[in-house]
Amino acid sequence: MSVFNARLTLALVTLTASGILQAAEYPQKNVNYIVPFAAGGAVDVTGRLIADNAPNAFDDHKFVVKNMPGGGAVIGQTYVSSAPADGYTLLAMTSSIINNSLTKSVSYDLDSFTPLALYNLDPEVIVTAADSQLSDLQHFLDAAADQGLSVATPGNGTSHHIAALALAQEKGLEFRFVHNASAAMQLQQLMGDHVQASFMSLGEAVGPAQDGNITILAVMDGKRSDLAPDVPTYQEVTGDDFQWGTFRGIAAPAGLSDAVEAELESRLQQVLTSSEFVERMNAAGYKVDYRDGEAFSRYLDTTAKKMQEVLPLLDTQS
Amino acid sequence: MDYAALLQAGLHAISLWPLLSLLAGVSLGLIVGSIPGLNDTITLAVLVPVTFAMPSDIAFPLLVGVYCSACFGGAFPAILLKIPGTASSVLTAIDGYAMTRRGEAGRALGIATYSSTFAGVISALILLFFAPLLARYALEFGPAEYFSLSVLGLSTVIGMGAGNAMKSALSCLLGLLVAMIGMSPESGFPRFTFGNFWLFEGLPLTPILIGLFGLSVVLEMLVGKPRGDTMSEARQTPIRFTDMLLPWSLVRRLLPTWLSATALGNLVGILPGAGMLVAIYMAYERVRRRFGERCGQGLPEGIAAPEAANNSVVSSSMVPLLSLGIPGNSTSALFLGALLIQGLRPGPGLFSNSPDIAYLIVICFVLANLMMFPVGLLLARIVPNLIRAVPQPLLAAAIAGLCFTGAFAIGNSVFGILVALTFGVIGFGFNRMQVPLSPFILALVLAPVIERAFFQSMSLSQGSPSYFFTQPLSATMLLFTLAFLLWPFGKRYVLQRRAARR
Repeated sequence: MSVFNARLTLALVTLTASGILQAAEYPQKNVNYIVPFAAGGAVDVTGRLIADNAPNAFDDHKFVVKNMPGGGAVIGQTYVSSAPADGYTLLAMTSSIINNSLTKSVSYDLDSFTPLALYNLDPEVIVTAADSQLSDLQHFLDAAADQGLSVATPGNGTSHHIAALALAQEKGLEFRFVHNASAAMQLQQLMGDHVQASFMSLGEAVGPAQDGNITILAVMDGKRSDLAPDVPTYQEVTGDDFQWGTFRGIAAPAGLSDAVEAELESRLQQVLTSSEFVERMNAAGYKVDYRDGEAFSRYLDTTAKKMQEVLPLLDTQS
Repeated sequence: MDYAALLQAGLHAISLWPLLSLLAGVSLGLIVGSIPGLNDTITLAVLVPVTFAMPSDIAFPLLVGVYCSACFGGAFPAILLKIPGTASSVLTAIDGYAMTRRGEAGRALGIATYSSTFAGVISALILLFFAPLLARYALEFGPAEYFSLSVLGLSTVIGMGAGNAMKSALSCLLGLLVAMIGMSPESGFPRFTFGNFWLFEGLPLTPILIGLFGLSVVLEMLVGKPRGDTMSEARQTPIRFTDMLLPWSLVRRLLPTWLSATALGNLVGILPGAGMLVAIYMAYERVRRRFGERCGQGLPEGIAAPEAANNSVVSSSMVPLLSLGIPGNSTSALFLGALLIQGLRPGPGLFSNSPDIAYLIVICFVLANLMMFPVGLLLARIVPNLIRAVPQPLLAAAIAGLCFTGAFAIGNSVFGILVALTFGVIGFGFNRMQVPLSPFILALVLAPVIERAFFQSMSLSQGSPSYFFTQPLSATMLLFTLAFLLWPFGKRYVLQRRAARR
């Protein structure tokens, strides 16, 4: 009897111990990578590049990219914020997380997420159609101040919309906004001369600009970009500093266990700094700018502060 | 056009591995297309990451094969079971199933095969030779044109109710109402969501289709005969191979329908975001106006028009992607991903920078459509007899199983199953009350396009509704809409006059 009991105890102990070990081991299964935008945009394309390289660092477990578009990314962000914090649901976190949590009555804020890695910073650009009369920034500013311009955005309350609002307020410009659901439709309206200008990310504009379909007037960054070295910065043309941009990073729901968070951070770093990933990103027109979870958090806080200063514009002008 | 590169790519495409890969793609596409809940978008989303490791002359034939044949595959269950395998075969089910009930399933499948192949090959050739030209035309479509085109598309539902315009209108309005669920595209304000997160995105389309068409049929099998409409009749007649080969007289009769449906498919299909459903509804509406009451009773043209239109859209949706780098729908967005990963950037430079792969892709579109013909006929020979061999209770269980799996797979959530169940009951009710389902589907798909285009137009015109009439293209389409709406009244008036004179 006692032998049996001892064996039973031993078996139970082994079972429990292996259970604990199991729980500590990450990853055990595929990871859901939520892209809160429709397929085809910059966040989606870069997300699929990450997913393709992920199995190398995640013990052959896959990243399953899921597009959850709608409401200016609120849908996907809400989904992740309320998902279990087990490391198997990740969010493609973009600038929209800040303005959404500040302007919309959403159920989450920045503290609902654990930032894990930043992989790309994309400066804002102002673009017009290639055959447009607004062939440089000064023309654009003059016309916008004079009679107003129609401007396509990828959605109300997106960071591109807010960039335009902020610029309009600072310079006394008038924009008539045409809100779309994707960058693809923005380009279509621009190339078809249905709108006069568009605010978008440099990464999305470089390709069509190389084809000669659109003109990039200015990049809202501290320095010119390697991707479009001929395009002046906003400051070069006007003398005033006006910087804006979007970021692309990866976050998990808040409340990850320390072990899982550490695993995720180091494995993501491995993926995002691998030469294979960086090469593919460059081929697709994106620069990789890796920062770890802590640096990403700091960046988020600074950006949120900047955003809060311009947000009252959204209420008065939209 | 670089004919040397074209010829080289052509020879490359008919070498062993690309051809085998294309055959695999076409077969896979037919299978996933014929299973309700699985479609080309889901299949490509799964396949694209797999193709990263493949050489591009294997990867693209596979992807093109799946994309081309999936919507043809959707016609099989539509004709045999009245369950459209894909959204693109929603209308094929009407006349296709009516023919099956008359014991002409083989003929119906033959018509679908001929129509798909004809339209697919022509459209692929158009893609090859006229893509840049068509792309420029697509750019003409701004917000006002999108609005008017969608309203025009919506007006085609008037005749759908088999003579009962009231029931059609009811179905259409219910579709518009369901489409209002979710966040406003303009302001982000949540409507009819009751704070429920799952509804914020609106109800997902595929589970709705699965419910309305798939589960409703299962329910009918459970409850018994709804007004003489039962599956078992369809299963009496065996299918002979000779039924599927169309006589020359029928080919000549269908040729005008094929041509007009192909033209519509190419014009509407290239517009990013409007695409597939508008094209098949407009093609079907043309047939309905020509044949009146006979349409819906198993008319060959009723199968030919939507099947030709949907296969045209498949090729033409690649036009904006290959010539401008703008993906026309979610499936071609996945193609964009596949191209980028292989180091190719779609756009005007694609054909000059990497002619070998660019031409290979377009030639694969032509070949895939040609290949669909023998593979389709072979499948048409096997599948119906397979369905006949399965006892009805087992068949019902199998359909239910497929429906639930498909509904779950869309978002990997039980929510999809709940939506499918709900709409299964609704679809059952619609069928019992003889309310047509097709207006509901069209309204559901077009409502968000119409709403967004309306707000965009209002912004551009600074709030003036006359904007829709000052743009020539938009005004023309609105006039056609008006004509469609007044058509039934005009016809009745003429008929009454004629009767009075007698």
